[in-house]
Amino acid sequence: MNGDGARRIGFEWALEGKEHGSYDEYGLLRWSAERLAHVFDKLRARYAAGTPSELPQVTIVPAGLEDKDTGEQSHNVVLAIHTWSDNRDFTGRKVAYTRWFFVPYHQLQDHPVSYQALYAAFDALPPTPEPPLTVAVPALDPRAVMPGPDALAAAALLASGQQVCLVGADGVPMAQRLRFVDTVMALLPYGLRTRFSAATWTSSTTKHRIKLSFARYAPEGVQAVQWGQGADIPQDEYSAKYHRILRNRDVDYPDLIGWLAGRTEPLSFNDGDRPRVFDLLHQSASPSPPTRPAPKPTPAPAVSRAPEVVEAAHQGPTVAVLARKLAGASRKDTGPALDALLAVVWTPSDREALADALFTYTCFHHVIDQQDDRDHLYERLVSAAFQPDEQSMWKGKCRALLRANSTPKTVRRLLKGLSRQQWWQFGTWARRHRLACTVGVLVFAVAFASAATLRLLLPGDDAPAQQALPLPPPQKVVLVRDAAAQPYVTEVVKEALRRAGYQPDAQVQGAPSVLIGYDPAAYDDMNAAGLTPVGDFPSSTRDVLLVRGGEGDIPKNILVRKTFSKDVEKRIRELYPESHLIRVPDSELTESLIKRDAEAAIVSDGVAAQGYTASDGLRDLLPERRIVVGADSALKSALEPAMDGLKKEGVTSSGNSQADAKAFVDRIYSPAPALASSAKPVSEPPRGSGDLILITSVVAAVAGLAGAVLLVWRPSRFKGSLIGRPRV
Amino acid sequence: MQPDPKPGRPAHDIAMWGAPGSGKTTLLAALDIALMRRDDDWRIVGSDPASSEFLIERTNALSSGKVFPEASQGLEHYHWTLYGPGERHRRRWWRKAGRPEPFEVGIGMIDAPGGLFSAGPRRLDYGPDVLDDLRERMLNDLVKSRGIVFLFDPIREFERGDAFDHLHPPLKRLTERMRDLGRLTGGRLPHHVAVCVTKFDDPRVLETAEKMHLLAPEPDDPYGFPRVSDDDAQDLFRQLCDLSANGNADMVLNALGRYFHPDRVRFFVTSSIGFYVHPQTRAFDWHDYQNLLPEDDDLRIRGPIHPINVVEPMLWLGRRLAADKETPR
Repeated sequence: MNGDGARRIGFEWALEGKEHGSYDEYGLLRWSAERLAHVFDKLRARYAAGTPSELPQVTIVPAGLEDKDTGEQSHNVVLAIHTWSDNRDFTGRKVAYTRWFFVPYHQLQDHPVSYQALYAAFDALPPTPEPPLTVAVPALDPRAVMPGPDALAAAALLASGQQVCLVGADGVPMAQRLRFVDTVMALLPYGLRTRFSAATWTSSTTKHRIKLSFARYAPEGVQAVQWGQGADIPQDEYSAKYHRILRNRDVDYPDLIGWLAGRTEPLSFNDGDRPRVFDLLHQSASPSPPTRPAPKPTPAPAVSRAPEVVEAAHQGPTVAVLARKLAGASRKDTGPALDALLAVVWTPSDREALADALFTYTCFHHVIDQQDDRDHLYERLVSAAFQPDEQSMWKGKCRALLRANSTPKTVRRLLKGLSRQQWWQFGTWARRHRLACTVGVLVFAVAFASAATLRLLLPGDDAPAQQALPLPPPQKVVLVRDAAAQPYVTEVVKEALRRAGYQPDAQVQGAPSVLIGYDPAAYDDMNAAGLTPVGDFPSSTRDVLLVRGGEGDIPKNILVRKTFSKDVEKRIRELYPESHLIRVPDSELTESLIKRDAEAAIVSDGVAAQGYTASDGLRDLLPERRIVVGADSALKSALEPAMDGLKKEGVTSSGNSQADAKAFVDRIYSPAPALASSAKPVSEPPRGSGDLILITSVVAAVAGLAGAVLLVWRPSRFKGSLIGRPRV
Repeated sequence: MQPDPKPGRPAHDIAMWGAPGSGKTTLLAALDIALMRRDDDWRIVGSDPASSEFLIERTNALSSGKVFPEASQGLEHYHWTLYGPGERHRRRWWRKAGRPEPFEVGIGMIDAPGGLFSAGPRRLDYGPDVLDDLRERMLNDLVKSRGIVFLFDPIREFERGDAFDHLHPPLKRLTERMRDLGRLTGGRLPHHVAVCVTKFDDPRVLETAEKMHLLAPEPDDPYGFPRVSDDDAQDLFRQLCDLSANGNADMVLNALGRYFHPDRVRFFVTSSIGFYVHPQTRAFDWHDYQNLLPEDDDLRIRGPIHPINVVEPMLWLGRRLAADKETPR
């Protein structure tokens, strides 16, 4: 081992690409060991991730080999570095090189290393390394790992055997992606690296089997984790449980990671090893359980820019102590000191302490302003100290910082951006308030939806009354047109409609809903208006023949209205062939009678004209006229009893058609004595079970609201589980 | 997670088949440009975000950046839907001539690195019947697909002469696999095959066609580009086979005719980038038509892209597959 904690590990290599001007497909160009060439070929086919547009990228794959003689299985970790070469193929396309490095896993079992360290060591080598094939790789430093919510989610999902794809990391450099891979794997037993695969870039349109990948869109069947945010964890036996363990605020990450790095026995992601994996994970998260073996002493970090600060963070110093160290850090140590400070910011009280420190040390501007990435450093500090959902907690501190003249402009801008978040922005509410509001609204919605549904589905006690007289829409205006000049029938219709809850009106403009006319002309009008016949009964009136000048023979020319019955006309012609019936509009007929132009005319009974006398000449041929009532099909049930009554009793009115009609309708619609006791007024609202449901629903809604208020006032019930560790 | 591309979910898988550098990915990249250049109402839409992104990025790279796609290194699957004007039903004595139904066909395009169509690296120690992982997946995709776009690169054939080497191995394996599945029809593969003779814009191809008197511009082509009609495309293909570097290209034609139903194979002469058009004359010029010129170690696209016969193979396949679905065998 070197003095810096690094150890030399042996490797084999292969170079994949195309020769300059080649017509061939990508393939292995050179390799260090012939026996491994086919292994590299298999791996490049098995873990092809698509055609990258940006290089360099890194792919990590496992390689299990079986000794043909002994049958012994060996595990190996393979790291592939993809870069552009200077070569072009025969069509002039750029050629990518992939440098494959094969590391026997047994070398890492007593010297766990990170993928970043492997990458750094191999990337420094020439494309075709010469023997001796060894590189110095420092041991994994558990204190250099700081998981965010995305890493926690990815680790939990991987542990349950799922493929994970990081999305939303388009602009993130490869080095940072590789660090993320290390962070995720640091949260799992080291032995899983014998089966683990990862790629810092994959094509969204390529189907692959890489366990942890980065892509713009997650392929089908692969669990997506949003960069910097995390993912919805399925509530299964393993992933949800481990995710909860990792999110526990009491977890000492360096301790957990150090212990997991010591679990180097080969493990797989398959169902068979899963209980063992979770057993290890469970042990790792226990603070100091008696069953847990003592963690192996981890070697000192290979390269540490500020060892004293890192050491301080490991031993659990407070935010105040680390803030003081940051305030006194040299320009070179500022970055590590800030990392160490942010690493201990975990709880709301830590964030409060950090906000205080920002005020006390004037945002550390005297050390941060010397840094090139000062804006980024300020951003990290502010986002760590001020969480949007804890606005009530830091509002005063924020105001104090904004008032202070020494507050740097960047911090001022960031704080103003945070302060602008208004109360109506739901996302800025405290989590417990958001939860309470959501629960309250949901309870309300469910209660009222249930009530409405049950009211619709359950029949009320007034069902028999509805059968006797159907309930109409309240006070709906219905236009009744009387084309037959039958006031009594019209009044009966109106009264029947009124009883059914309608508002009959003869004045409303528009298409009629009820039409009263004579057969057969009324049928045409009804068809035109789209009405259904609901009544057909004798009118007690007949047509009469008016003859100019009095009695005599049947005149030759007789005017009749246009709608005159053709059957009757036919019979008249048969009996009186010399007579000729002339059909004219009603208005013309009336005018001819007034002017006495017409020789004779057939008109309704009761119509008189000066100079004309009613003749009995055609009395036997002119039948009694029939009244036809047509109505909207919706009104049919309301009118049918009255129509049946008119059919039975005939149209008989004493002169006061309105009173007669009311008396008639009273008689028709009076309920039978047996039903009278159970029938209820139509307008009376239903009672009984409906009320009970309504009352129950209101009680449930009020209870829900009360629960929601209680949640607001007793947030400790959810304390801890809803507060995630911020990404610092 | 990428949303499930339910609307327009591809109903027909189409595989691209051709030697390395034959222009498979470039043809796909030029597809949207070719549709845009047409006067009719054809358009292509991604059925999922990743497939849409390919269309957007590749179209921009080719049209604005004038950059060819890099050599493929993995199996890419794109899910697209082709929309186009429908055909009016002809009037029959028992029915009126109906309004044209818009044409819509979902396609799942499979783009594989050309090297996968070769026999494979000989050092693979898998045994005689075992394929490497990527070839196995590509073969499965070919089994699932119902249409094939086979690209014949006459330039590569002239210089290298290995088109048959990139057709024969997978064709044999595919036939065996389909036979085992009982899906051969009349002893032949059931796929519809659009054979595309690519790089028509290359002077060597254009002049061969010209010598054979196969060129005729489309009557309504505003640029007056020379074209080889689909009926003459097979003759040009045959002639180009005679120029093969190793003289095996005739076997390509024979293999296509024997493994597939002849009535399901159609030939097209295509160019993904088309000919150069001078901005002032805006017409094809026999003295200056090369749109691809060497520049240092690279090739440079000179002017706007005018794809030739890029859409037609897809539309032909789309229509045949849609019709085939309606009248199952």
